[in-house]
Amino acid sequence: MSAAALAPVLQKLYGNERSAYHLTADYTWGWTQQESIQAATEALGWKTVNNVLTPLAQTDFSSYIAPVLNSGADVLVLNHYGGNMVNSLTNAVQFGLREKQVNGKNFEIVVPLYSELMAKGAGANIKGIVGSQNWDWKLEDEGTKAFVKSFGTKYGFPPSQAAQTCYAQAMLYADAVERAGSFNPCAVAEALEGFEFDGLGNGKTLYRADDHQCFKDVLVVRGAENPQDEFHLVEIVEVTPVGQVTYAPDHPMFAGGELGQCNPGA
Amino acid sequence: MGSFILQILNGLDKGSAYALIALGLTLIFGTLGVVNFAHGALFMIGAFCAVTLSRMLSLSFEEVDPTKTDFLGQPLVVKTPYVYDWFGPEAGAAIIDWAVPLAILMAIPIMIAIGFIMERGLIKHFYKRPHADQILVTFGLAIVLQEIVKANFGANPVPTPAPTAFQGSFDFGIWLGFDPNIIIYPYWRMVYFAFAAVIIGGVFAFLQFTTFGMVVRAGMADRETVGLLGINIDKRFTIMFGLAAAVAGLAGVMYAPINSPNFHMGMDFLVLSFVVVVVGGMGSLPGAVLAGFLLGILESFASMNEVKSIIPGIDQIIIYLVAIVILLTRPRGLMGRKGVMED
Repeated sequence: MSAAALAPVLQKLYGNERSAYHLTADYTWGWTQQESIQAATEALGWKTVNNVLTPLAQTDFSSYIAPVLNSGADVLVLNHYGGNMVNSLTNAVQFGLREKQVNGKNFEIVVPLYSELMAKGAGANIKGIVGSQNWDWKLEDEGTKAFVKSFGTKYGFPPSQAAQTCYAQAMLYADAVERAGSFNPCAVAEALEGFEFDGLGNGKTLYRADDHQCFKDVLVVRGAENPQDEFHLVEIVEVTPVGQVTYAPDHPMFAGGELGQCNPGA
Repeated sequence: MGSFILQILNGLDKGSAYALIALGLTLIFGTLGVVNFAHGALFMIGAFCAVTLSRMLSLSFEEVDPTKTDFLGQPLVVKTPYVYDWFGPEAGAAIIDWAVPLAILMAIPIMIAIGFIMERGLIKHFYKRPHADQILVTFGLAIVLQEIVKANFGANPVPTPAPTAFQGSFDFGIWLGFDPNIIIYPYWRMVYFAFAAVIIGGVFAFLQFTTFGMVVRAGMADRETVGLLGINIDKRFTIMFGLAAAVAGLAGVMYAPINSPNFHMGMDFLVLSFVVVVVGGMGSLPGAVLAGFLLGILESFASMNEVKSIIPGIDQIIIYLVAIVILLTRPRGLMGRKGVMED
């Protein structure tokens, strides 16, 4: 979904003739993230120069960044999340990639998925970095406004994407238990299958029954060049409608076989 | 060729951090015979000394700007650092900018004090206990220290940039006759390497050329005989614990701009540093430094695409693979002495 949302923006910002070098966290999320962003960018006409898997526990990415310098790539895609992303982006900027010119173009760094907390960890290195988010406190819908007001009044700072996700998930779970009339995990799962809701800040959100994937609008964001304060590190570039990022349950890239029998664990 | 040179530079830089931490570990093991699993936490505390000084220098007074609003729609509270008020905006900004190098001055006494407290307050009670007990208590201490840091600074990494003068990278390639942008290396990583070389050289010079150092080396070789000569070797060893803590702390201070400090960063280095100590030879200071740089360079080469295409995943195991080979061929490590950790 991140890739489908990002691709049109990447095309608009960086054009169709680009060569991308991917650094990918070596676990399931990293592999699928990389596969989808590679497919989306190649559909634009971009070339993929290399995809290098990095250990999940890696903290210093310098030895993975160094080969990028002489690879001929003019875009570095960091398929990293959390601490991996904070460190790899910091290291990439230290190596002067953002000031580099390759193939007559400015070198660019793309992080397909990141959050305000990660942006905070990366500090000034996040400036100008394009990526996507699930939610942002600067959204203008009523659900977001109410949550930001309530959270901000209590804690003195706006909620992060993680805070919103935790709150939304707790509300969803409570609602599903109530509708199912049971705490049995299988009953709760059944109550969530095909469930569509709105009002929690993400727009209309669907938990598709076929594959249990969550579909909603995706935010394309960019690190602010001159943030007015520590809470405005990220600016929203575009809200990509859910229709644009929805894929068929049998899409070859994501089809993972049958869901199987529910095991309540007891 | 460019990639080769870059990976040597990377290896030297990684090796600097490994060598500094392993040097402190070996100092403690060589003098007190303690396997200190809290040593990574000392590295982490050093990094947070840089964070703390940066925050102290940025302490601000608040003024309400009624013309602007905050995220809740309230009048905006504008914060101005006191140093701007005291020294002017330019000088104040420069002081905050240089927080990391300035933190060295703060970290030295703090780390020595922490080392003293650790040794006198806890670790001395475990001198005569088995190594397994020492490992358990120091590992527990490391968890306590990192949870204290987490409670005060949060779980997220805290960006702590290098001074503006050292941000960006240097084009080595032009120097060596390559085209521009082939071999570029970050200024701060070069500073880190130079700093590590100075610290390592300083520790060796202190042990080699001072009377204090001579007594400590004698104590490391034969503690009992030195004691029989009427020298209070325990006191000197306690001072060495403080020195080892300071070395780890300084390594952490200077590492803060390389990767944003977080409460877990000590644990990330701890296991690797122990491997470095074992490969170098338990109790051998030159061995620790040699193994630090050697493993740093090997780890960097193992990350090269050319190497990974031949042996996928080699970058994840190279250090442990080398450790196994070294221990099979040289059970005491590269420069280990007979009788150390041998019953």
